[in-house]
Amino acid sequence: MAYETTSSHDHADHDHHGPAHGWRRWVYATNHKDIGTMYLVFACIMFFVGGFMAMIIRAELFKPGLQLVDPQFFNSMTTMHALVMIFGAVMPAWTGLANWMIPMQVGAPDMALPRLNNFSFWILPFAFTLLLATLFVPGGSPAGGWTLYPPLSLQGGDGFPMAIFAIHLMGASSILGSINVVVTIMNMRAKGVGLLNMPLFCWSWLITAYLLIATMPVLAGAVTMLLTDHFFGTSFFSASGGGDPVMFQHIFWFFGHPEVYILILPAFGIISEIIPTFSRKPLFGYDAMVYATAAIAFLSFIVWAHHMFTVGMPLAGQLFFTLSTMLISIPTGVKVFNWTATLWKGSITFEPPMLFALSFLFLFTIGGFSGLMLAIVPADFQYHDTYFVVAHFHYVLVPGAIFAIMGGVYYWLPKWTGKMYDQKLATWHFWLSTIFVNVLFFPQHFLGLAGMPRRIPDYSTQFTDWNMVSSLGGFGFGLSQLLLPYIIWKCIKAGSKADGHVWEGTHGLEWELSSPPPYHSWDPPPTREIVARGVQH
Amino acid sequence: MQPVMPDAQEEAQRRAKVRRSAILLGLVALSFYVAFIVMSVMRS
Repeated sequence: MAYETTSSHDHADHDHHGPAHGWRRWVYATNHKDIGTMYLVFACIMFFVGGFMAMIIRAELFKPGLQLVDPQFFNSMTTMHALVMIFGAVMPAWTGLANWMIPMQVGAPDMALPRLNNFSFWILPFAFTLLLATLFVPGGSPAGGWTLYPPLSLQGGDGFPMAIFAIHLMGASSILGSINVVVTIMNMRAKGVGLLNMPLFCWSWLITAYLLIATMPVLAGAVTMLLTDHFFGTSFFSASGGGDPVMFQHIFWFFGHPEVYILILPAFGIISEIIPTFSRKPLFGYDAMVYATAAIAFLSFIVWAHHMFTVGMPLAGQLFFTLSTMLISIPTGVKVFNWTATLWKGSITFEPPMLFALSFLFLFTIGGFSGLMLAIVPADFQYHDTYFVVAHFHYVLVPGAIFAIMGGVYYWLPKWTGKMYDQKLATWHFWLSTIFVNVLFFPQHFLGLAGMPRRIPDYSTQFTDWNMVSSLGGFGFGLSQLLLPYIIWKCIKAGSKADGHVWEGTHGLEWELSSPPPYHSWDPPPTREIVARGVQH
Repeated sequence: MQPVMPDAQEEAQRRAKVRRSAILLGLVALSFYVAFIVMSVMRS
């Protein structure tokens, strides 16, 4: 029997004949598509939960003064919005896409460790129930920012240990999911699918998975030490006991900066899939893209202290972290130029996935440029902890990571469901998102440059106008996102039939399968002819 | 067209490699966790 690992030993018997029915299909799921779907649905729910928190923040900031929430709750909202969006929306969305696509793209019948896959997913609902429950306990949820800097974070109420435990659970889920991705890509590729001809989405996820395995335990270690400082009398980060709160910042950002790339590298992979398809040209510089992704991942480990310039460090440290941060622009530039070169003289069409990819290209680059400004020490002294930083990372994460996720969903949705969605409505979704995301975040550059600090519920009246504009953009962006679940629901209910290749310019093993693909994607494995047709070059 | 079927021995080797590399990566993650705590203990 071919592919015994997943076909006869690791699956329940019913999996040979198709999915189980009812709740058992989801609770006991070992099929990569079912688990991928659960991750994506979970991410979508968390996207709206985190988005609702953002609406509260923008409503409070619509005008100066305190009108809707008290400052403590406002601070809880900024903290929880970040934790929910990073760990609950973006990361699970990437894992969902990885689950769906990686086995299909490398010619495997499933992920290498299907039961571990089930466990990785089911940790998440418990973790986020715990995290969100902190909103209802005495002292409220964590309010010291997602960075959890001591001593502020140690002053939290009953929600503090719950949040720490939730972070441990999220970390465990991410690490187990990443191990699964690495072993699947390294061991489950069909014959003929080599490392240097597999899709760039797989490459970007392989590198992301290594980043996760190396950095999530560092976060777990940092928050474990916070916990022992709070409850067991240790003084890792307490100056009064001989500890060093700045050491927490070093440890946190040793995790935190690679985390930024964990959120964005899979986006690079998706954009590298979408642009060639709708340009009807092979990707320009495949090998360079792989090496650039690896270079970005490596550099992400040696730039952490650029988040800490205002803490104070020797001049040599400032120079090192400025220059190493600027170095990242070189491999990132390679990617942007290669995508542009792929577009050059292509037969370009503007279906929804391509629109999101092009928007990503422009808007992510804006986020990249403001990052370069922040890398310059004297400038960072001015920008630090202002809305300029908020604008910067939201440009990277919203029109960057989230637009890439939406592009990916619109790209592969017909493959997953076997049905075509309403492209006109999806185009509306794109334009509303793109317009409102700029109305929301671009004015925050001006606010930051004018000196408005972040994480405050009230502000000086000179910041009123741009805050109003930003809030209106926020409400528009939030409302327009309701289109996404409606488009997906309408596609499943009433979409027209999609064929195997779906789009004209597709290239890759996943497109060699029917739409929707069979329950076990590549069982039996793809023939040499199919592999030859499907691989990159 | 015949699918490229791995033989039983190849499949057993693959399963062993999957197990080995999963355990190795788990140990790498665990060592990062322990190492950063130990480093902090040494410093404080």
